[in-house]
Amino acid sequence: MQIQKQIKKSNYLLKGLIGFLSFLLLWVLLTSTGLVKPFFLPSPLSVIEATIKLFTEFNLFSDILVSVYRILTGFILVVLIAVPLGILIGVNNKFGEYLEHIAIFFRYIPPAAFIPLSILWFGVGEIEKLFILFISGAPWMFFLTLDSVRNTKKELIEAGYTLGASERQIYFKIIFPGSLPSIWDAMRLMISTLWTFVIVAELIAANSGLGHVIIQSQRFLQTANVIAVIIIIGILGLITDYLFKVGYKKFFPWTERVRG
Amino acid sequence: MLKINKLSKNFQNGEKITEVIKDISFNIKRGNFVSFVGQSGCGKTTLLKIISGLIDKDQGEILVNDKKIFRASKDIGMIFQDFSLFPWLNVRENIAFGLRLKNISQEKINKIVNHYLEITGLKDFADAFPNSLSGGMKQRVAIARTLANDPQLILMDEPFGSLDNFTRSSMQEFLTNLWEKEHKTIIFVTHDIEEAIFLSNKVYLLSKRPTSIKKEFDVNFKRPRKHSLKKTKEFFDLRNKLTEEFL
Repeated sequence: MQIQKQIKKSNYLLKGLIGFLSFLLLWVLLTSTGLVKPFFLPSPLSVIEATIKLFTEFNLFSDILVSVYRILTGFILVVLIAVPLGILIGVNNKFGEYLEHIAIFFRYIPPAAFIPLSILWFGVGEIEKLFILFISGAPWMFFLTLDSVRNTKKELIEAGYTLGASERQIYFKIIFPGSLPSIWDAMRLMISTLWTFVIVAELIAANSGLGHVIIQSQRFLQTANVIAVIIIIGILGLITDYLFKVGYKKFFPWTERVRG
Repeated sequence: MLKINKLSKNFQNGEKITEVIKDISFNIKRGNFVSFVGQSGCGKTTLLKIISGLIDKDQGEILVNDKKIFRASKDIGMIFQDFSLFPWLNVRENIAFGLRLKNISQEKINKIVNHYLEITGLKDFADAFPNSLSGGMKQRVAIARTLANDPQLILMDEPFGSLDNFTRSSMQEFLTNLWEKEHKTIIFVTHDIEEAIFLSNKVYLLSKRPTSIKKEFDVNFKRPRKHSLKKTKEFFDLRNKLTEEFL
């Protein structure tokens, strides 16, 4: 937090830009000198061409929409189920231990290991994707929520009691609002995980979506297309992250340090 | 109004049992300002938390207006060293927190909150969030929040302990003025003898762990007290006397 504050905003943007530009420069150097064959790494220009072609001739936009739709439904499902459970068990340990151990068990299984099973159960449709996203996101979201709730400062709870709050009021008026910012942060982390796993699921079995485009392009040896989609995924990731950041500032202005 | 009778408390850590408080008894009259002075780690905070009902006692009796205390409630307010403001609520909402828990009309809440914003000099900061306030202001919000709830007894746990010297002095004067106006019953805990004498009508010196009352002193300086009191010979003598007892 402190260090971030010290970097001025203009500096911050500039440094990000320099990072990307030097990356691009390296790419240009590698491809224009013929050091790497275009088959393995096409030049930036041919990737731009491929991108335009993907949008105009192959309707890439609909594949983007499909992937985004899958992530959003998966994300909503994860949040709707894992966050309330995390809060419930964070404030009340009674049935916590049962669920905690199941969640730990699932957290250590790579979600990709469930893909074959999921295909067997649900086919290659949307439910299969949703299942994979749920199983890759829910255990983590549950634990991160649980942590946020358990990290509520004890002093605030004590202050609440001495001001006359009932146990119920402590949950709703102190623990919940107090842990919202870190739950929001967890959601930001979660959506990036879901981005990873939607692509993995689409790579293995799908008729649409960005992962599907990557695997199709690989089959037809269109390396430029693969790179184009990868870059698009990166950009979509940046946009998602930015939205979460803006949301944080808007919803939780009280977390910002204004002075001393 | 407050009667404490042979209060004891042990903490258990595995097999080891530590006596924290041993046989403390005292009475405090309504509208009195009393301080407890003890060294760090002597169980002062534990004593306050037991009185407030936040933690259980092992033995003894606590009576507030002849009624036993079973759990924390709005009748016994507490001010903490680290302010414990709710960071997601602005100053006005923090002060209104206790009032909002009950069925009180918004109109009445506004009236009470405005009154305490005025008294604590926080009117211009009503809409600010706690993170933009200085330490002294934060503690004034915490005091206003507790006063707005109209408790019968207010416990203060080293409330000025984390403030710088200058702010500390001005907060002491602020609290004295406040007490001289409202005459709440206050128990003030500190490790600063000078602070205790300046503020209180009575000072209890606490022993090291297990905590018990070592000695009590009446402080009869007339009120209203101003900061210059600290420079008088009488004040100086009393401070020396207490310090000697303390060591």
